[in-house]
Amino acid sequence: MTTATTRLHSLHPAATVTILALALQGTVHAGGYTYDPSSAHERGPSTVYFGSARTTEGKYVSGVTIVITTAAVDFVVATDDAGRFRLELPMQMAVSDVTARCSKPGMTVVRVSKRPYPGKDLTPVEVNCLLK
Amino acid sequence: MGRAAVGSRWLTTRAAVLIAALLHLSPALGGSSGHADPIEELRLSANLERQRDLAWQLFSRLTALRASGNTPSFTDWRNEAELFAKNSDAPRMAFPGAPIGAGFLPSMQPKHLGDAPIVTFVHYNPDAYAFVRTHGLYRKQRLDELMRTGARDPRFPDQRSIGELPRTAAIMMTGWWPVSGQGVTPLPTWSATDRTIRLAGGNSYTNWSSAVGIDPQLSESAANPSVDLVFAGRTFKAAPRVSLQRFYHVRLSQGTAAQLMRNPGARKAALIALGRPVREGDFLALVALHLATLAGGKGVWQTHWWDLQAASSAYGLGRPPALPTPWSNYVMDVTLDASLPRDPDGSPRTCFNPWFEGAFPGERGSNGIRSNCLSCHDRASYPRTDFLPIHRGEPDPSKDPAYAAGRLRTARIWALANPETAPPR
Repeated sequence: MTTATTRLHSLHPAATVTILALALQGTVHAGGYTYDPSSAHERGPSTVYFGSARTTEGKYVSGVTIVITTAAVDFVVATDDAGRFRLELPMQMAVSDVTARCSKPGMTVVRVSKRPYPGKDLTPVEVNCLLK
Repeated sequence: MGRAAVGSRWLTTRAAVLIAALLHLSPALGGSSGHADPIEELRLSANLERQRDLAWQLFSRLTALRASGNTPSFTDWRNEAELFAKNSDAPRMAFPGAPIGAGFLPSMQPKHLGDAPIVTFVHYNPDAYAFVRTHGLYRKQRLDELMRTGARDPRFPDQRSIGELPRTAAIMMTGWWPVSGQGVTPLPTWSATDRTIRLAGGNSYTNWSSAVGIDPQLSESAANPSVDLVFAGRTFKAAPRVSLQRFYHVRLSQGTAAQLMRNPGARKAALIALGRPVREGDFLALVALHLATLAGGKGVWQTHWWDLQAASSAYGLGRPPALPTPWSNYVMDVTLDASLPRDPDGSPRTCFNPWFEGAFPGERGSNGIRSNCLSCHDRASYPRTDFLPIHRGEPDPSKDPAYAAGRLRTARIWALANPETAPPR
């Protein structure tokens, strides 16, 4: 675990929110008038979140909305045609400070699992969505 | 005297003449009447009630049906892709045209990696379109030239300016929600009293805690039955089920649906709303719009969004009783100034749209839901610059790179500050 990461863990939650909010001030331009909280990852360390959506029969599902939530922001991604996703979040965060949820119209969510990489590193984190 | 009476008296004077001239509905008023600028007068008055009256009147004009058809006047406005087209003879695009950024250079395309977009378009009324095209402001070379030779900006003499757009110019950004042609489509809905609102962070629609189900098969007059919805990983029990007729909406043809799905933002919005790409027979429902009318002063910056409780919302105050459905289901806020009238806590005026600005993070007491249209648009300048972080109030040119010496002010129009993103039509 890096020193910076250790320091982040010891911060008061409110301070963590502030740091995260500042980190999210990514490069955005008004021509497209869009704000993508993931775009700021290019400015500093990032955490990779990846995973898939599958049915209880094991079939991968495309178009599933995955929402990765912190105290400051939602990161939103849809699974691709192969039923997978990958996100680079702009800040190293403790997995315990992040929640994940998922859904797809017409399907029922059975379980959402969140699994950090073995060891003490904060990245990557695997998120899987099970539906029926 | 009641609020409505005050508003009516004011509107029957000079502003009524101005309103009639706006949005290309009557001969241009221009700025040569010799009278004081009524919009500037209204800005300085800081009278929100009167400002709201003006904004509702503009909305009524905007949404009135064209004399030659059964569609609102704005459906004949020019799409952003037409404004920046290299060839003026390119065929007209059918409303709503190409999504914002649809034709950006590949390096400029928003990637929409982790955001929650809606389907967004920008539209220019005939006078705004004519001004930009006539002066070549859609070309980077022209803006580079004006940086060297343009008139000095009257507020910032160390910068230059493209000049003022005509007082009859108007620009609109519209935001739409994909709706399935069959069944019920969940739509998150914003509430100012939402307890999950992040006061210090971003509030994309995936963070809103209420929703309705849009049903194209439900008649508008039907009572609101309830429906259980699942959206963005959350369940909304007994959510109101509403008719699509309560929204201004367009039906998608096969070609339009295919065009939309080539746009990364529109495609992602469809996947979030429907779990699949849009197809022929689906709809786009209008959920939000920004309208800027450059009628004098610093312009009139108003914003609207669909609200299930539009009749009782504080943002519905002053709505003309004669405004027909579906437009009566939209609420509104407006600002003519970056600071005035001040918010109840004494801070600079807040005016935002939850769909367009809600997701923006902020600092020092401002974020997307505590932003101001004019504070942001005042910064529009060339070459392009970031529009974050969000702030309210008057600019601080000494610290803000958007006001650095030598820049070209683009009349508060962000699109003109980004010509290198022009679509190669």
